[in-house]
Amino acid sequence: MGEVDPDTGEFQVLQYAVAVDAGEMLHYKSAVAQLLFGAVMGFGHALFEEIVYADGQIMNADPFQYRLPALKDLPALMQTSVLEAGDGPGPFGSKGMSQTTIATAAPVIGNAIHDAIGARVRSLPITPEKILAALGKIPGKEMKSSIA
Amino acid sequence: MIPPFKLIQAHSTSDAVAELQRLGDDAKIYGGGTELLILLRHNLVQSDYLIDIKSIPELGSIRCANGTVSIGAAVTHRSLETDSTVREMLPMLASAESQVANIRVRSQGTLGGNLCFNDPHSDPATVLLVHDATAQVAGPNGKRQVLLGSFLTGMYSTALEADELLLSVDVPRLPAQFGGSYMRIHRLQRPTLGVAAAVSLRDGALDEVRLAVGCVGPRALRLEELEGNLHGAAPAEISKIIQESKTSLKALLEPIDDLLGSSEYKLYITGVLLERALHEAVHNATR
Repeated sequence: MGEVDPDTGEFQVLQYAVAVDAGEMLHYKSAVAQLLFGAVMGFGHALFEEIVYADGQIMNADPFQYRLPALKDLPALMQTSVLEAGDGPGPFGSKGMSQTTIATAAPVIGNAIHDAIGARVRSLPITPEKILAALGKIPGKEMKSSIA
Repeated sequence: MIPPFKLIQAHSTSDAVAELQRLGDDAKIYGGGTELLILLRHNLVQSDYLIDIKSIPELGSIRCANGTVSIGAAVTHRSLETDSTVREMLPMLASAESQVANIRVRSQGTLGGNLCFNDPHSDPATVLLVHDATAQVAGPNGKRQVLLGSFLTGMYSTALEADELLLSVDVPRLPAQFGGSYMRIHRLQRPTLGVAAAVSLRDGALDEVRLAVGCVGPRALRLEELEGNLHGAAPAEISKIIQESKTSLKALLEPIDDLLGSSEYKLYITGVLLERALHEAVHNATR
């Protein structure tokens, strides 16, 4: 669940839930941490992280300019659900599950934004500027999308 | 690595000015160091001597007389955020200061250092402009006063001469019938945009309007033309008047395309935040 300010394009994740099929969790705390913080890493890809080049130089190769998710970007509530059917090829029926939540963050966030404002941002990271462009409020590379 | 330098402890303002005069370009004033040490480390500034002014008592004090708060140049952002006098007399400044960078920087960085470095992406100057603040400057020929709008001359530059020291900033509180508001947007370490508004009302319409915008252009600026256009307007007309002034705002603010966004984006959110800040200021004025 997220919130978009349609005037400024600012976006905040309000609530986030992940579910994964682990086969069998070998270490509960590690598994849950992998899921949660994989999601946080995914927030980075979805909303912030981008290497910007100009004239062959990286313009943001330092933590001042290269934005990673910070505590204030995280929702108050993050939940994990793990399916354990013991049917994996690993020890005790486990499966590779760590950080599987990275890949799903961007599509989830993109869909949440679409659900909230009816506009699609089709490139990452999804910045406030791209959200405003998708809403047709400023010119930009993001085409104003037809509401699907 | 920071190249070696000699640290000179100044015990008084005249002491600091004398050292500046003696050492010329080889010396830099060292307050909190949050900007200066980064510049030294990246070799963007070279300095053989740093003159530490933190232990000069008058530069670290916040004094209040006749409705004006005099803030010493070495007062930290954190002090301004938490000081009871500032919070009562200059709530808009306290609010802006509470949003500067992070708590480590606020505990270390000083208002004087922030203004003298004059990074375009900074919060305090925008609020201080709306307060019609004055910089008190000391040099070899004595003291002088400079209106903050004239002190902040451009990107990373001020009206300070090489042998001059910023002593304090005198900040008159907003007149009693005024309401104020400071709003900002930030994405990277430094703010993308900061907007300060102060208004008084007459018969439900805007009377005196003060507006300043920071971070969008090379320096924080008062928006005198827009202030004039808003004079006498009803709060419901704010949005329309801001829309009509977009062309002149663009010419005045000179937004550029950079990592923080395109110039179109910056101009657009400037309008949004100006409108929001004005409405909040109106709300605070009628409270």
